Amino acid sequence: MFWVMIVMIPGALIIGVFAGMREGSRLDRSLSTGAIVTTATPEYVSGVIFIAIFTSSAVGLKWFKGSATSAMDNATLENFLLPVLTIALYGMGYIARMTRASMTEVMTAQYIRTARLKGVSFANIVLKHALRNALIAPFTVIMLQIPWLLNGVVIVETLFNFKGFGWVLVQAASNNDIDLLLAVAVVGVIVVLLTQLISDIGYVFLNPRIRIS
Amino acid sequence: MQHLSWTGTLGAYLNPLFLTALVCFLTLAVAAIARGFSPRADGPHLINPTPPSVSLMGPSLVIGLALWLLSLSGVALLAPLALGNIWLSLILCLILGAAAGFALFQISAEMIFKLVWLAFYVTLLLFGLYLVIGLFVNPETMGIVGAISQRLIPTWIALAVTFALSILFKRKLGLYGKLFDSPIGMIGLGLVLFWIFTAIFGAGFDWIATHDPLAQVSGMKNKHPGIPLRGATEADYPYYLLGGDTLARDVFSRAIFGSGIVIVIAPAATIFAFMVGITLGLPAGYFGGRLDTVLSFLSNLVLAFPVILLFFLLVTPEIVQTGLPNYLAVILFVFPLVFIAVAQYSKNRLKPGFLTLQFPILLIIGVWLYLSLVSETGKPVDVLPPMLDLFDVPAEILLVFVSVVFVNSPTAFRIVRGLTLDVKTRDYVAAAQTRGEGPWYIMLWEILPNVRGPLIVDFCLRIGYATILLGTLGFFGLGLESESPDWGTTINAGRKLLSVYLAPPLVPAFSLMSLVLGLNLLADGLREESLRD
Repeated sequence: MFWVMIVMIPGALIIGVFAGMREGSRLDRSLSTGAIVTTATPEYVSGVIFIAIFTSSAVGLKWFKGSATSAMDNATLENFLLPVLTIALYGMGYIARMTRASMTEVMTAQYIRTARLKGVSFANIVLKHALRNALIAPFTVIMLQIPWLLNGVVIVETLFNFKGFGWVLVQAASNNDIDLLLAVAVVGVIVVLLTQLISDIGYVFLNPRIRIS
Repeated sequence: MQHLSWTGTLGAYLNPLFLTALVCFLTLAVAAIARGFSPRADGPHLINPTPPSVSLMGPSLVIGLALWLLSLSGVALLAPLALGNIWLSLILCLILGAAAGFALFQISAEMIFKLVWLAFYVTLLLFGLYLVIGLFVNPETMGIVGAISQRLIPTWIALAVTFALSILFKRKLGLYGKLFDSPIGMIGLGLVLFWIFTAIFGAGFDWIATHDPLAQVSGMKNKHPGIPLRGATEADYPYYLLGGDTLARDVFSRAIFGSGIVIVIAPAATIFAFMVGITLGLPAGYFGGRLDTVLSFLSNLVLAFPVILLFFLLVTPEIVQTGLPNYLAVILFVFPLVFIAVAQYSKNRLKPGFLTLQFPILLIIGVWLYLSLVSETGKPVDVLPPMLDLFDVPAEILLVFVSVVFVNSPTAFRIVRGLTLDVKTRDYVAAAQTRGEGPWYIMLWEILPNVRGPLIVDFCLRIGYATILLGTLGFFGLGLESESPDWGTTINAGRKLLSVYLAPPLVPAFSLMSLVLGLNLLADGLREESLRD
């Protein structure tokens, strides 16, 4: 989960910012199309494709391991990259599109034009003027992604045979163990609610225009 | 009988051409994207663009082009010898070609983007050639690709007719016609229609699939694509086009029949979810107050659960035995009925004869359909006597359907509520209120038609999402029985032997991906075109 965040958030933000800084450019269009493709690929599809390409003996690229069982004790790049990438990719497209939308909005603002006319270089404008304001909206989106990430965790843990939270859920369901199932559900819901709370509080800190009345 | 290769005997001539075009396109595209990152890239924000001097452009363009071609051909020739691995050589080829291309694009951007499109069209054309030639020759000549294309003839014809008619009359077709102005929308529509037609002709009429999706043929277990059918009689199709799965069934036919399940359930479930969302969201947004608080709280309650937890909670056998899904079905399926009844009543209530004749008939038919949908003999909800029960939905399909509707409706509710809040302050709503129209008339005949644009866009996205959910259910083996050919179940069944036999899980995986991608692109195209006016 932590590693997913590490991979997903910077990746999505960078893609979103690059796509949003010049709306309608070719870079924007190709990155946006890429983002659509990743949102259209659920974890069980991308995971299967990754396993097929990178681990199977039929293709011949045995770069990674198709199972993350050994990653429970000792997570290495070889056994842990693919599961993380699989979850990150699905969430990435959505966050990137949100970032792009907020970035394009910021880039049309008056103060950006002012800075531009003052002769500030384009890179400086993007990094110093636009970025800080453009990142407020994606923050909430990222926090709202946590329920979907839990979703992905369950799928990927099943697919890569990693015995974690999602695996417990699947086991509980297949053994018809209602009590365990309900316990897992409670934990999941609490995690989701906590992240929503953090998102609301963090939003106030990020955006000084909002005051708690 | 020979083992079919992917592209048959003609492939020996076409493959090198196709690969060259593909590699050209990929390297050029990578380089063009890299060009986009550089500070001198085009864009509306560029102030005072300096046109590159023509004299500098000529020779360096030639040099760059030569460099790029040289590196491509060099790698293509040397790599197989040096590395003996086609993947590594392909990747190396891509990197080197892109680097050379990038150096070239530093000089002339416009030229290169034209080249990218040229390479793209050539690649597409060659790929189309595989499909078109495949239509007319026998499978041995054009291989698996050609044979599949041949099986899909009904789909191709339907697609061609639809596109030709739509483009011919696109000015008269409103928003749908405008879709044909945007390439993204057209691609999306093409993908979606492809699967719709494949579902109709394949799963509906059984014109496409080569074998029975459930039939097991001995000796065909875990075979690679293009394997000839063992012990084939005259009546059988002589090949398993995409191989056999772990239970010796035909992968191709299963994917075709799987599309039928998805294409029926996903849109239907989305329509039901939207009916629930509209029927509850309109009053919540329009009246506000305590009703809004209660309904929003309920929807947030459902949304707080990760989707997968809800699925497991709904579909676990012990919970199914308590009848919870059946009761949920009773609640969820009543909304379309309420929606149609209220819409008709609020519009036509003053027409003579409506309240005495048409409305009761409508109500009776609606209630009858509703009751026969929810009631099932031997299940917790069993109200209709069997002789009046029009149709029985199989229990597991109903279960899957209810879960998808239940998970999707809170989101639909929120969207409709937000749109209503936005629109209810408009002047035409005030005018209708002054006219003395009832609240339900205003909601259903004034507000709803005016928010249809965003709703249609979101509807497309939601169908894609419902498809993903359906796949998730299948992937965990929830709901549908284990031999059902739907894509999620097939992916789950195939993934255990994934490292050796690629086709069984990859075929449904790519099918699902292309359908969802098509829906997303379609939604994107619709949004773009509806924003334009």
